[in-house]
Amino acid sequence: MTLEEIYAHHADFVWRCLRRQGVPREDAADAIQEVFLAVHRTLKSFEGRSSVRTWLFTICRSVARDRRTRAHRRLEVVRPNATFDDVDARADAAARVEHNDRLSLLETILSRLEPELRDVFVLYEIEDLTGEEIAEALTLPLGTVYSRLHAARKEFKRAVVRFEASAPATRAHVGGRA
Amino acid sequence: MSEPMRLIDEPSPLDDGQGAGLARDLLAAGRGEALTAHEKRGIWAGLAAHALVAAAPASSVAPAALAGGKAVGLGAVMKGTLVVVALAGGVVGGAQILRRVSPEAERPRASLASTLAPSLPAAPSPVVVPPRSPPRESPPSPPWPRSSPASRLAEEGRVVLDARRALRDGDAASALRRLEAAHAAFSGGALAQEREALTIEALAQLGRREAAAARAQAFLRAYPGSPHAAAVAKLASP
Repeated sequence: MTLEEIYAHHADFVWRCLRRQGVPREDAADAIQEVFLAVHRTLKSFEGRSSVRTWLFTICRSVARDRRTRAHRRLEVVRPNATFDDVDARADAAARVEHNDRLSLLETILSRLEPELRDVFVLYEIEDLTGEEIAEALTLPLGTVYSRLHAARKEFKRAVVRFEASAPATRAHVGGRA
Repeated sequence: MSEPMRLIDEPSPLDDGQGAGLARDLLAAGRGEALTAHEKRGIWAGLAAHALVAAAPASSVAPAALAGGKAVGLGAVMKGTLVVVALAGGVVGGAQILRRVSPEAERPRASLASTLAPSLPAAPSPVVVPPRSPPRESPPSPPWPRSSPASRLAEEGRVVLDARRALRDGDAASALRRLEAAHAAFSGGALAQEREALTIEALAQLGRREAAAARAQAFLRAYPGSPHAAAVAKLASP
């Protein structure tokens, strides 16, 4: 397995991981390069010991952490008390939310999850890692992974339902429609 | 314990059916979030350039500082974008371009090839191995039109690599020739410091010590914090 192959297959995954770990969009290129340079340095010692994505995830997490402590930039952080008013209140939740709005909404919902629940949820539901891979990536017992996943799913579902419930109210609030 | 089904695959991801469509849409949006092909190439070119610059342990020029400020002693040259081209050439079908805004992204993920713009050359090109180099150090051949910033960066990186190798082999004259040509072609290029440091070294190797010293002093004034500063400083007095 070469660096080029890893890059070709997993650059998007790395980018998503970095974004979920709080790296701002404008820093993405820099951060991705850091990750793959670390991959290059440690490739020989990695070979085959775990799944590639597990390994990449741990590198992403430590690169993101390093960048936070180096404080290159003020991180963009969704305010913990952000409400769904942040999302365009006029968007019809089911039909007319555009893809970017969906991403924003997804990010909003994810940002409200406890970080430990969010990590498990994202790795399972978006990145398709197996429970065992997640256990390895996050250094958790497998049972903990599943229980966090269960809790995260509940939270996620609740947030989606809450958003849908709020949309008609905000529509009425904004547009005066019944 | 068998794994629970992924939420996006569940017929009704929300227990009471409410919001089911939206939940799936959100997860699909998250799964489809990706770099554009252009971004992907650009990042790779930057990676390759950094690796090329850093890859010459025998040279007296210090490895370049990388984004993030860490010097990395990379021993091998990356083959650059070759594999990207090879993969593009090997693809059959799968024409959907996976962009950041792809609402219909669904499992399985669009293949790698679909992330590459269709303008990439269709035929896979084998690794180009210059006659005297070991395969590991063969420079990448650009898969995209040479006018793009990413390909210019890759070419500039190749010049740096060739010059460094020539210096290591004791052929300072040809290194200097390459570097002077690059100076004209890549003015303001990202690897200007590396090229200048190598130029100074080449001049010193050729015995043109006053010229080397003058340029070294100018270099240290211009780039005081450069990772090459220490090596260049050694040549700053004739």
